[in-house]
Amino acid sequence: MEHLDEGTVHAWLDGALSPDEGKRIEEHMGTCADCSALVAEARGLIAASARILSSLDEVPRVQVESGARDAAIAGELQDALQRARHSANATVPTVEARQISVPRIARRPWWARPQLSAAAVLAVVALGSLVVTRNKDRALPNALKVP
Amino acid sequence: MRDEELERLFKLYHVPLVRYLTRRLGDRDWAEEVAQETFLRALRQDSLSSERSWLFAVATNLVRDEARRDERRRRHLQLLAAEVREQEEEAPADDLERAHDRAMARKAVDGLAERDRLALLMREEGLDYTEIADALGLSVGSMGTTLARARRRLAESYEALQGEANRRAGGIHGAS
Repeated sequence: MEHLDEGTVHAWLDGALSPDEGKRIEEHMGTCADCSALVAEARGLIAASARILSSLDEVPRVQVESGARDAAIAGELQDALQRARHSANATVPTVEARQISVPRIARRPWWARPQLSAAAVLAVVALGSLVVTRNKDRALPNALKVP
Repeated sequence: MRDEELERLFKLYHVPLVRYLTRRLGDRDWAEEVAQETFLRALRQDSLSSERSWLFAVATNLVRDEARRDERRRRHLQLLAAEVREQEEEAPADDLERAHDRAMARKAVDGLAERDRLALLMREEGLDYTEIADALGLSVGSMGTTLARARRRLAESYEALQGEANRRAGGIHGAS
């Protein structure tokens, strides 16, 4: 087998080659010190890149007012996600809300906003006091009805 | 697209998409706005065949288009980011070090060719070679070489910036 080129080594380490190609590379590495060194270097570069890029994840929040267009987009998306959740929860007891704020994906200062997973974003609902009823025959309050 | 399908996509891809955009833009709020608009566009599709590459491709194009359309807003955000960086100068030592690392990483990433940068950022989010090639309009066969080049240049650039910073720090301490 010919010596490995850098592109092939990275493709192999990224899992992009076929099992047969991978096997040939492993066999070649067993007999070629230079190619083994190339693979070791590539592993180091992959790890270094991941580490360097991860330091970009802690970004201070810059407070800028959302424009009307951005607020409309956030609203429409949030409405679709809420409809999906209500559809999935169709059999749970009816909730009669005295005061409900519909959650929005809104800007907040970085110190007031913990790292949120997608599920947590969906679950962020600002609620007032609620009365949970088990009366399944009662109609949904207007605030929860899908427009 | 049905709302339930959108929710499935949102749960799977919102976090990696926002992380990709944050690394691309250096601004989490802007990243979340672009991500939201991406999912909204997905909602308007009947279905998506290669959903991950579609989402990342749309997000990438939105950033490109928005940057062209909204240069003024970008400059405003850069000014605000500069203010935040000034405030960081009064922060504790650990925070300062992290901010310094972040600034070097930012400079190193921004120094990459755009195609290399985007391919690397997508790979870090787990997109495979076919998905990256589809999203960026590149050939699958060249992906290994592209990523090898991007990783090498990123690491070398970062190392050079670190060396420069250490020399400056050594010079300051030596002068005192």
